[in-house]
Amino acid sequence: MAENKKRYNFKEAVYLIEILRGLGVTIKHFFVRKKFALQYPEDKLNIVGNTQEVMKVMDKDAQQLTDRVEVTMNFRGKHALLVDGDLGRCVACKMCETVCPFFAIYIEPEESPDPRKERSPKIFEVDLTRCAYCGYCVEACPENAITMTSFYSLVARQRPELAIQKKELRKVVQ
Amino acid sequence: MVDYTTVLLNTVMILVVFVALLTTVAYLTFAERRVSAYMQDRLGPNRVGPWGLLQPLADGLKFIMKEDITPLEANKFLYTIAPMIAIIPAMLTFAVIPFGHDLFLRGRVIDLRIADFNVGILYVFAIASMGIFGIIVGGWASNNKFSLLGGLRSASQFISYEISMGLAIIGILMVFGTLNLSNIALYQGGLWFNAVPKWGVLVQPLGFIIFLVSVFAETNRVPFDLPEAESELVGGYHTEYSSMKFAFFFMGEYAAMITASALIVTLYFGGWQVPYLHNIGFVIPKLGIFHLQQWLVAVMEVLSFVVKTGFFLFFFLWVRWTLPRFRFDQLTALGWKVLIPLGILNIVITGVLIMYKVI
Repeated sequence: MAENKKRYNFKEAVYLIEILRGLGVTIKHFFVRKKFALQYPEDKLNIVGNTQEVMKVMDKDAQQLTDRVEVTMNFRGKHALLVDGDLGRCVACKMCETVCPFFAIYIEPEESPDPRKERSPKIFEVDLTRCAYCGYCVEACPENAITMTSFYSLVARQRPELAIQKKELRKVVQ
Repeated sequence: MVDYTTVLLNTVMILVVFVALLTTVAYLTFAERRVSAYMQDRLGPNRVGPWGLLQPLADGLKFIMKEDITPLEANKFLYTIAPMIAIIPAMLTFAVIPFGHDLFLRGRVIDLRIADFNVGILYVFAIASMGIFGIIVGGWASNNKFSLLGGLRSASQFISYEISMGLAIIGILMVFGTLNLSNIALYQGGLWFNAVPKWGVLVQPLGFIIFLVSVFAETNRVPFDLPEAESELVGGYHTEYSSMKFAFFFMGEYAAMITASALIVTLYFGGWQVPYLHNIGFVIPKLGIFHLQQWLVAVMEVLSFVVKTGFFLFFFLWVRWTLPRFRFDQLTALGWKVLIPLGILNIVITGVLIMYKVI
């Protein structure tokens, strides 16, 4: 065992005085509270930027958000299908379904009510239990129809609830 | 002729103390988590019930539901009996601790303690030493190297610090001239120069420090928690234990902590004494007497004991989150090279002071 050669001064050698100093530090922390912990379900992260609108549509609890910590604008959370006016942008080309490495997207096309395009999705399902939030679908989309929001609170009681459908993905763009 | 009322009263008192002890153990585990969290700027368990106050119940329920595992190669009998050996002495020791003076109730004097032994301190030492067998036996019977190392460390630590603890107490015995804990508490009500209460900590400051350090080692608390050093020995002596067996070790440790706090208070902080409070009320020299009802005095004394013990329990937690763990050679060096010589010095100083009638 290495011998400790350091010479201690009297205060350090007695040791008890230094212990008292240490006790002072801990008791200061005990009484002076700093709020670091986020009490999650009651106290949520704030979502910034253009996704705030989405939150209002998608999450009833959006009103309870606090402004303590912020999620970055390019955070990749739950997906959204953009809608211009009444009509969705998606043309059901299945690019996102093809590029998805995890087979999380399932699309069934139908004839579009919009005269400018041929097809629109009848079923657009994103299985969030499979999704890894890589964002490839957003990059692959030729119509800029799919995007990702900063909605991160993906909680469900049963797995099927996390396979979200077209109407839950709707996001209106002005 | 057996006095049935006395038997009944004693039974009730034992029940009350036992339940109070177990409740304190339960809430001490909760307090430990909450206090440590606050000291580290966290929040701690605050979900079960208001402010998390029902957490001990949830913990207890969890322990009962857990699977009780016995290692294949373990010595079944010793493995089972070890947690019991650990918890029973910790509970027994509290029997001689006085938590109040007298309570006059319907013409009957009730001593507020379970047993009034004239060898109180010896009883505490004898029984508290039994508790260590639980740890050693549990560590050996688990058939696990970490458990065995924990048990061995515990044994050597206990031997080292029991001596300095005994030496520290000799000072108190010399000053008060009795082994009876009730009388030690009673004599601390005396006044020094008609003004300062003659508490043990004022009469024996050096003895108090030695005793305090030794008690931390005896109860296996940080900075002397080498038997269960998580970072070195997995879980120490209770590595292999699960379910209620583990809970028993845990409860034993906390019960020992409560007894240790109560012992510190009884020996060095006047036990149930409130300064200047006597059976008739506050008696302050040169100022006169403020009369109080006797039951009020008794309640104040018990409260005083509870508050003092509570402070020392908090002190245990407080020290835990302040100091790092000792290395094993440092631990034994502190015990043998520092505390024991200081204990002998304390006895000599006390003897000289008594000879010149200072204390």
